Amino acid sequence: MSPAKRAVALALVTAALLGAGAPTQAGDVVKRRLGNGVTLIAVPSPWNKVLAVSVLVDAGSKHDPPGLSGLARVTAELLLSGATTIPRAEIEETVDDRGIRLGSYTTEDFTEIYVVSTIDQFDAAIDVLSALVTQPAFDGRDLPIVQRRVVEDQERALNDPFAACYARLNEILFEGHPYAVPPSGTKSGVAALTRDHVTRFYADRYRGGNIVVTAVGDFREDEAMRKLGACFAACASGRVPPRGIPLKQPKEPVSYEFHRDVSRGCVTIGFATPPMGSHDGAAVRVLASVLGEGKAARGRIRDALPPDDASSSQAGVLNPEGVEQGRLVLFASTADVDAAAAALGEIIERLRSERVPDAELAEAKERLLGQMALSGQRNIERAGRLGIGEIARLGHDSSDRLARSIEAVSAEDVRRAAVKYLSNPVTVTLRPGRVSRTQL
Amino acid sequence: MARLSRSLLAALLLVGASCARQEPSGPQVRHLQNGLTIIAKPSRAADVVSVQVWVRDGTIYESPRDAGASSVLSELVRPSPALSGAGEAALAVEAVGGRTEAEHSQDHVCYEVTVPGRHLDLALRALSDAVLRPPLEPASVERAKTAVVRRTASLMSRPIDRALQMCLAAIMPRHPTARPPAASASDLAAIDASVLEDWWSRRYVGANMVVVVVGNAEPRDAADRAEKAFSGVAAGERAEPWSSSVEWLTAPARVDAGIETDSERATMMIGFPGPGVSDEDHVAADVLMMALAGSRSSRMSRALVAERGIAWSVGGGWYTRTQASPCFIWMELDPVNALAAEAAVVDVVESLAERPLDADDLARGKALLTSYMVFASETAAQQAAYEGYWFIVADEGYADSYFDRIEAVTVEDLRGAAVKYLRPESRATVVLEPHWVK
Repeated sequence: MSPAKRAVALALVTAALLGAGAPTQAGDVVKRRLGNGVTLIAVPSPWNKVLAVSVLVDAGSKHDPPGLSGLARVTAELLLSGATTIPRAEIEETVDDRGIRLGSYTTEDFTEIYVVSTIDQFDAAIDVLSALVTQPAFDGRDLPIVQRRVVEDQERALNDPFAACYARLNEILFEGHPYAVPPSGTKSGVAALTRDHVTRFYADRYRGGNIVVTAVGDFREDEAMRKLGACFAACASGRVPPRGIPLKQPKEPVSYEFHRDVSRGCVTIGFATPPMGSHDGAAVRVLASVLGEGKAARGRIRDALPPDDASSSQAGVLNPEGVEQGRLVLFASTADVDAAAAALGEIIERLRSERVPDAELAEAKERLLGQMALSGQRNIERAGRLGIGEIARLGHDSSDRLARSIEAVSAEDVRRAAVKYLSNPVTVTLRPGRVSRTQL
Repeated sequence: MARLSRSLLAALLLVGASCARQEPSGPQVRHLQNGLTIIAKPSRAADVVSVQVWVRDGTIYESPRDAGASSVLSELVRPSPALSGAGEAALAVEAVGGRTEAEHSQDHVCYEVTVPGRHLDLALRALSDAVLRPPLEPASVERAKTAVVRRTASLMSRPIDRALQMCLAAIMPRHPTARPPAASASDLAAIDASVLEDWWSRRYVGANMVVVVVGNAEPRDAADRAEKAFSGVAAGERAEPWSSSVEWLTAPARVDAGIETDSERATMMIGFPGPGVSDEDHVAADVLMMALAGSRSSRMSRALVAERGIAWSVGGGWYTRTQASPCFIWMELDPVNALAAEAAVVDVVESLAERPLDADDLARGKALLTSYMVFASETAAQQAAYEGYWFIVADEGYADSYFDRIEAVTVEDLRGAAVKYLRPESRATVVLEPHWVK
């Protein structure tokens, strides 16, 4: 998958995790808090034989200290390299031979460590996951390997036209805030990291009050709770609140251009949108659907751009939500960047000045709710969705509430959201042409 | 892009609202008068329902004269607004956030529509329109051919897929499975509307298809609705493969080729003879390949990656097919290690005589194959695919027995399959080197 597609996919997955709203028809959601502050959620689900356990930690890249961008991501990856309580070879053998999948990812707000296995590996899977999360070895010999992998990811992203635009757009939109830096950090930040930085970050952020463990699978809730409780009791207790860096948003439109030796240019127009859980969140999601969020080949952007530019992989909208601020980004990969920018500008102006017709609104809401139902069907995605709501202090049912709010959004709500949030655009344009390194 | 009319959308919403909840029923299997089988099963983890039509069609059913017919037809039947006669229904699927997919293979063709649960009727209509009334006029046929050629180009640009295709061609050269996919319009010159009309009338018949509905829908009601939607399918005969047997190599073959890639790594694919689904030991072969090359602690990985350091990653597998198909070992490696890696694979195979596969290998192979299949049947759409695939590639009822078949494999079965299929003298090796090396 190309870096651009990965970036789009990650944003869509994030949106799906935060927003999927179909009422689950599994067993009841059971929640419990351990003495050390860890929140446990168990969802019995008899519809397949997959066990998924998500450990969400309030340890996203926004907590990276100045000069050490990439620390959250490197910590999460290094954590998977072994535990002090189980020999590394034993972990590898258990995982390899039983078809258990372990992984991690880091966003600006959170880190997730997860395991997916067949349900008959229930004990082994949770034993390995909890050992890694609560007793990581942080073997210093693995640090350079992880650093190299993260820097390679950064370089791939910089080489991709869309990802390069998106990164620059975030720098401008969130100047002075950690959201301005991608979760994989910067090359210098990752190079500066030592094992000591990693262990201190872990001790600071991986505390019970900052952790939500969610399990979904064909198990009995009492057995799952007993197992999870025993395994995650070893987490250090406490909760570290966020640093609270204020966001400064652009007070006027900002434009930025750069050139590269590419056949198609790229236009991205971005806006800051309200944080997760905001009253305006549903209207903004519908607004994004009117524009053409997701992979469906429908929406105003697809209608306005020439067919060649309007294919799903080349034009659309991203609407990733964030705990402190979301963003809405219109994008088009095109040979004629000026025409595309003008077309996107007109679309924005119309949304600010005119109500969306009832039929178009109904279709946008129906499409959005359908996309939300279809996305995130896997057990690990369901676990992540519940856990993110919980760790964001919105409640594990926040996605269900969002779905109900979407149904109630009116045309006037959408127009109001457009007026309120689609102002002072940040436009980043990549033009085909001579490479100018200094611009980057 | 055309927008749905307000009245159509209102009608869709009304249809959804009318799907009142009924008494729950168990899974349904129905055999219609026209020979069509309908399977309906519940899966309520999400408010989604997936409808799939699986057809016993694909490359192995084509004579040399018909080569390409099944793939062009699959492009025409695919429920897409751009190509299909089911354009309006496919648009409606998009309008409710649904998804349409299609897959063409050697021995099956599948069409899928997945939608929120209340839009089951819409999914059934989109698929039945597509299957019953494909647009066979010349302009659509030409567009479908272009789409096939584009798909081939995309497939062959990926090193692992290209190596697989080339390995098939090398190891079973006279079989339809080995035919290269159409790379240009001239490869499909013989395929016109009349060929496709004839192909469709013989293949898209009740005895040759299964309709599967899985998701948040009451099974009896879903089966009723599916029966109504597909009652117009013509009766007909079950398709038989064009070639009844597979001839394997009697001496090793090797193909070296290049591929445009920005990777520094070469891809190697080694094929050995393998069983078909009707061979009694086919599940043993499946477990064997997982045990031998399915994880980092398997014998192939240990020998090539951990001990000798001549490959970066190793994998292996056998794909269950209607007819015999190869067992594969594949790897990524430095191009300079290609000869040594091929020799190492042969060493591992030959060493099985002295150090036979044991209970640990068996346990690993079973666990890996089981987890692979469990992960591949997680969502409603995957569960529908699981049912449809086994029905078409094997037969009715096979899906229910598959995990038991894995469990029943013994160490002796594993050893027997290794001796029977992993014959170094019948192997075909393909090495794809990145062009920058050349």
